[in-house]
Amino acid sequence: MVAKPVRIAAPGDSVVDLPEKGEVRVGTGIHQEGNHLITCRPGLLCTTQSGKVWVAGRQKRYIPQVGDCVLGVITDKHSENYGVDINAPFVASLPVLGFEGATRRSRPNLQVGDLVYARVTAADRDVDPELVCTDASGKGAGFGALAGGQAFRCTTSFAAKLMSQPQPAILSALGKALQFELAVGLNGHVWVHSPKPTTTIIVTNTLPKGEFLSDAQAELVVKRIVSSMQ
Amino acid sequence: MLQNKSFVRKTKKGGVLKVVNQHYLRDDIYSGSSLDPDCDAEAYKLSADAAHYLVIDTNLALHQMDFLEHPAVDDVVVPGTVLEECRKRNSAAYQRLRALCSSSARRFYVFSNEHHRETYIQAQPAESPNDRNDRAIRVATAWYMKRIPGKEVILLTADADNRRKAVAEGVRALSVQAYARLRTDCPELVDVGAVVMRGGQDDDETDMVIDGAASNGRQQQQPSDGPRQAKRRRIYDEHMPMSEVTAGIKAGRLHQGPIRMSRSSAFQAWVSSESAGEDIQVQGREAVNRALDGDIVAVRLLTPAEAAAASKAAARRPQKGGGADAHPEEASGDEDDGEPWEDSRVAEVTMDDVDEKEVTPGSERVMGRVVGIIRRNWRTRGYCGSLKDEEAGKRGRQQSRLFCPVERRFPLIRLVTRQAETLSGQRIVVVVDGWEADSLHPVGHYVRKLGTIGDKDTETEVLLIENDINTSPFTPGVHACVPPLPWSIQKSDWPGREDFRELPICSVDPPGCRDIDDALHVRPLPSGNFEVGVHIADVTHFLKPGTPMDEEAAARSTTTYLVQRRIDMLPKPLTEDICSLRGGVERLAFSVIWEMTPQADAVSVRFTKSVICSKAALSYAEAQARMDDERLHDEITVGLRRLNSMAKIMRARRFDQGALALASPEVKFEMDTETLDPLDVAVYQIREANQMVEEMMLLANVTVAEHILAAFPACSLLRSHATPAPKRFQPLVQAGVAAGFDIDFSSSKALAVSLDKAERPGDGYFNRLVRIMATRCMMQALYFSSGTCAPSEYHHYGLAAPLYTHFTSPIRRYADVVVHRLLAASLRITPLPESARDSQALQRSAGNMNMRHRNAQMAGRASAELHTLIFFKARAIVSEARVLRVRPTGIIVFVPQYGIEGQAKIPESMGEASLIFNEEKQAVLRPDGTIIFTIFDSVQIKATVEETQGHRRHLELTLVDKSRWNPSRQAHAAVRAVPAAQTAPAAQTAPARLAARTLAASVVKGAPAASLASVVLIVAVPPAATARHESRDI
Amino acid sequence: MEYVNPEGLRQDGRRPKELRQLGCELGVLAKAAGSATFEMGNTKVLAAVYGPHEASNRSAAASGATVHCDYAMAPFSTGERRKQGRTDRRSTEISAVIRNTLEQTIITELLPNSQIDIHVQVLQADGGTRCACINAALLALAEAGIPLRDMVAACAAGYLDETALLDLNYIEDSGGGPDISVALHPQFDRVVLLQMDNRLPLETFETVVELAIKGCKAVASYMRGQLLEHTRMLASARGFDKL
Repeated sequence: MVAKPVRIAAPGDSVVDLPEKGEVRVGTGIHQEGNHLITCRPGLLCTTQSGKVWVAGRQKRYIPQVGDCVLGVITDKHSENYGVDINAPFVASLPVLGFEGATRRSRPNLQVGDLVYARVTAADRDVDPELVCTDASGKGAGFGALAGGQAFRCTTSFAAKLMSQPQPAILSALGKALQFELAVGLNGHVWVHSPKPTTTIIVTNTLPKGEFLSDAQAELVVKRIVSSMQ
Repeated sequence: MLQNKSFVRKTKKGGVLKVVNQHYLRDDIYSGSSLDPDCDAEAYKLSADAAHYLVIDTNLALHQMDFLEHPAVDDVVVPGTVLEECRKRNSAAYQRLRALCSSSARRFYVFSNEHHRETYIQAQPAESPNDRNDRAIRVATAWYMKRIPGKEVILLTADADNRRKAVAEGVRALSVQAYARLRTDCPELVDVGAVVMRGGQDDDETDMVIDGAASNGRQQQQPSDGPRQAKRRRIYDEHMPMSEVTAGIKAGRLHQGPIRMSRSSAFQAWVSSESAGEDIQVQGREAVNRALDGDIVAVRLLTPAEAAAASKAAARRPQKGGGADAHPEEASGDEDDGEPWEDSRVAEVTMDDVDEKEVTPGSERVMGRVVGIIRRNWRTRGYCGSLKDEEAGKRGRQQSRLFCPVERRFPLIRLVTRQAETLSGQRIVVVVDGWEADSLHPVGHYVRKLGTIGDKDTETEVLLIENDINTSPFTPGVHACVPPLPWSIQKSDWPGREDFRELPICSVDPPGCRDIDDALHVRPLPSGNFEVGVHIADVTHFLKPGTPMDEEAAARSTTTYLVQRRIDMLPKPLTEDICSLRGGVERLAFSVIWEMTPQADAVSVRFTKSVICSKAALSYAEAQARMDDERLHDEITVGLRRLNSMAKIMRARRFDQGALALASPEVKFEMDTETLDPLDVAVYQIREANQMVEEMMLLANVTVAEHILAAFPACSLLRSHATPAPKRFQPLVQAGVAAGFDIDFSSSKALAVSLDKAERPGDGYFNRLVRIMATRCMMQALYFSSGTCAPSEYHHYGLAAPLYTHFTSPIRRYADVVVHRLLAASLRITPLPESARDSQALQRSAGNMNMRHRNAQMAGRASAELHTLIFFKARAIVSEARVLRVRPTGIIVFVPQYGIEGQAKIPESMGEASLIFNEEKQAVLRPDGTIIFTIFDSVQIKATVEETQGHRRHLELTLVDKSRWNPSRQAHAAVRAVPAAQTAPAAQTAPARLAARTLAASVVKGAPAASLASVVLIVAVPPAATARHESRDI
Repeated sequence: MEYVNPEGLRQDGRRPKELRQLGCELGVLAKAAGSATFEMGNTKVLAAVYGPHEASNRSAAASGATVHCDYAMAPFSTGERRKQGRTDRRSTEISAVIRNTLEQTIITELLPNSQIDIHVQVLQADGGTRCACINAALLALAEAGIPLRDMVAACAAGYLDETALLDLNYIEDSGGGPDISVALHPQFDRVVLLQMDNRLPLETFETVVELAIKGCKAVASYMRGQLLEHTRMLASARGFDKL
């Protein structure tokens, strides 16, 4: 399912009139106003052949959606769950049982300020979002607390881009030159970890620049940085 | 393209403020010439056939408007820079320039050079704003040259330096004088160009320096003196610079106020200044120091010693027979200038100036001296007059002549003309350009000629111009607002109107009245009460706010009635046909309907727009005759009788409440239908019918006033009449003491009672005379906006009414139009226009109405005066007169039959020289102490027309020796006076009238021992041709 | 004072139905979720949007996001330096006006229990600040990606010298005539704000409003163009250069 940008849209633009029959699957940035579908924020209007329509905007604030993988910071600690800031309008809750193999007896010992990689399980607009640190089958699968490293913030659209395939040029170039671990949350949080602190610092400084660089530029930037290290 | 204009301004608090305004430059500003291929066709204004295009600079707009207004000057480009500068510096000149630019008859094109991409320039470093503007104009001229290569473009400028620069830039530049000389097709242009003052930029092309002192008449007769004296004599003190004046006023050293000249001399003046508390007298040519009537001046008070000297000089004057001039040497030279003191023996004659402060030597008056002029109020429309007779110079040669204004309160004016011989014997209009300290006379220039002196039409034109009455025909734009004739009511006129066509409505007006704006009806109601209706022409149905017609009507504000002519406020089709409530035709009206008890108590009132059909348009005499004819019992006559009986009750009630019954000696002219010369003058007769109509109109006006004030407390137009100050009653009280009656003026009621008591058995006219005098004590009634003064000031003294307005004559008064709109808005018929909601704007237009009303009255009176002169010119008439006042310098008599009044000459045969005029006792005594006349005595006078300098004519009254008095004539005169006397107590004419009197008084206030005309006609009711309702103008 | 001369030019050289020069810039502040400046002639305002974030009063925001708006004039915005007075009545009123306009524009029901903070600062005042503020705030909201029903464009019109004038500058604003501010959803032709602090006859009122609406449409198309341009710029920088 390849996203195909159709055109640039501004708020209020009419996208499609509702068809007599058939199906339109509406994604983010599309709003129904009477008989029209309109865009409700500026961005790239994307459609797929299956009839899905959405607007790919660039925004700093994250609106949770079920299934998104996010990075969050523990802000509260309760008996049943943790409060996690995921850069969304609301603090998300992470049940203490939402970890692989966690029971009432053996609960994970997380502190306020810890970074967790989690999956959104509920993102209804009327209740706070809920997270879980397992995959659908209950396995850990890389979710959970992240120790060490450094986190930075970027726009949600860039985060999505980092997650997309093929990898953006800046990421692949950095990956070729350096060795590091990376966790990207769709909420615009990115975590970098590497055995060598210098590498971590270089990646956190270089990666955000990649949003507006072409492939050739990105490779050049990485090349220059890496060469200056040596 | 965008430019930011930024400048620094000082704030009130003393801070410095940077102001940045945007300034957009455009590419859609055209040259206005059809020769320019890029010019938009809609912008075409300049003619393709013109000999050349002229571009003017600011100085021209400020000082040479008469030149620009001359029809020979056309195809003129007015740069936006000029307009803007002109607007900032002289709004009157700006208005005139704008009028020229918008006139379709003239080809004046405004080129917005400041907003044009190619002609906008920025000030260079160290360039003054003036230089920058001059450069902008030159750039604009150059742009025209480039844009229209085939046409010569001439820059007209008075600034020699500017011309030099222009020539250097390849632009042809000329001065006005040079250009006028170039225009051989119109030699008059040279005269019309204003004189360039020495204070301004020097003009190297002016081939004649205008110098009043050097080229004054005496020296022209003695050319050996040389045309110029090497050293200019300073005649007047220099005016203080503005900064010094402001500081002086702040410190209390100087006083500021408008200067008013005596009616008889340009060098006798009064300045009313709030800071000084009372009027400051300014005496003599030097002290007046180049101020003209109406200027706002700064005055320094004289020390007692200076004042004494000034008084002495003033006292010397009559002996010298020379003058109101403190310059002995000048006075002798000016004796033949026609300066007005030659008839100083004919002293103060008008009774207008009731609060006249006598200029007696050694009196304790505050004397002052003009040291600075804060604002000039020179008339832009010019002064009427004639060239003083002098030996004519060579034909066609430019020569300097003196101009003698008709009004003696203006000084002689020096002007340069090439057409002296064609102008002699003509009335001309001259505009003042300036007055330098070393010039005896102000310098002016010729504008246009009016016609032969003494010709009735010319003199009428003069009095219209002097009173600033616009006689020009209505513009096409105004006529476009008038519905086409023949007009009849359309279906679309009906909505919201009641059908009163079947009601027994009739109108009662002066005979021959064409502009009928009111009609009446009464009919019994089943309840035993009566329905009384006043129907007023619905002018506002046709006169929509904001239209050209409305603007014109607002500017004119009133119809002016002259003896032989009517100058309408609205175009004739409206005035005489469409609005006029003529008999037998359906007309639109605005009606006030009361339910009244038979005792004339209003039970209820309502207002409505309506359609009426007047059953009869009656004259006062016809209405009276119907009422008196007992055989008639038709609906109209019965209604008139009913109305009359109710009016009598209302009238009695009004007097009970303290309304004043005053009198004015109205006369009417009987005209020769062919020549329009007056054949006879007669006292105007007031009938019950007049009073009936007046009473109904008063009621309508008061009712409407109450209603509109309730609806629009802040922006109602009302009419107030202030309580006169006690000192105004002084002459009346003095007369009362002398003649043996008491005057109590503590309230209008008390005054009314004491006037009723002032009777003399066997002398029917006595009471009327007293009332005429009382009339003179009144203030002027004024329109005002209710939002601008306290409710306590709304009072109308003469009518003893708390509220009053004008509603009943919208055809001839704009105030009534405003009131109609207010009333219609209060009834939710038509919304009130935006302009009418602004209390301040309303007050401004009320000011205009007051001024126009006053001017119209003055013009009417001047016209009557003119006709009196024409009447007496052909006749020498001996008539009975009454002594109205005894002054130290003579007696003032009043001739009831002709309504004229003036100082009477006492012939030598009566031993004039030895008579004693006792002002206190109001009596004339022989040296042995026996009384010859006292106030109110009957005398015989002879009236003749005399001509004085400057072709001013006046009526001279001479006492006929008592010894030659013909007793039979006396009896005759007494009989003639009786009919008027019968109606006298009821002859209420209006405080407004009276008020007009008092206004005149304020103009003439304090005129000293000399006065303009020895006769001032009190009031004349013009004859049939322009019949009017003045008696209702309360 | 002559506001429109008989040649049909205003004091600054515009014709009665012309807007001043417009200008805008998006994303001027790094920290804010969205930000923009908007210029109408010499009037320049800065708007910053923070949020949506959790509502401080959740019960009030239960059915949809609450919008908080804070309008302020910079001390240096006028010729005379003004004292910092945050809570004067005029600011409170304009804040309410802007909030009201934007509340109708933001699809608040998509964002319950949340709150959007909009800060508008007048950097330079030359008449028409409230309209410029609405325009700037809208751009900032769009930049923040907050769901909007439509664009909003605001424009003022007045009536001086018997002429309807579009987009009054300070001199004209202080002319004492009526000043009508209108905000419009251009796609739906929906007037979301109409404000006048004067009296005006109905017929005149209609012509002036008509003019203001036309002005709004012009402003809207300008804003839309700028927004698209901005998005295009970002997109092409991210590699979508085919668009």
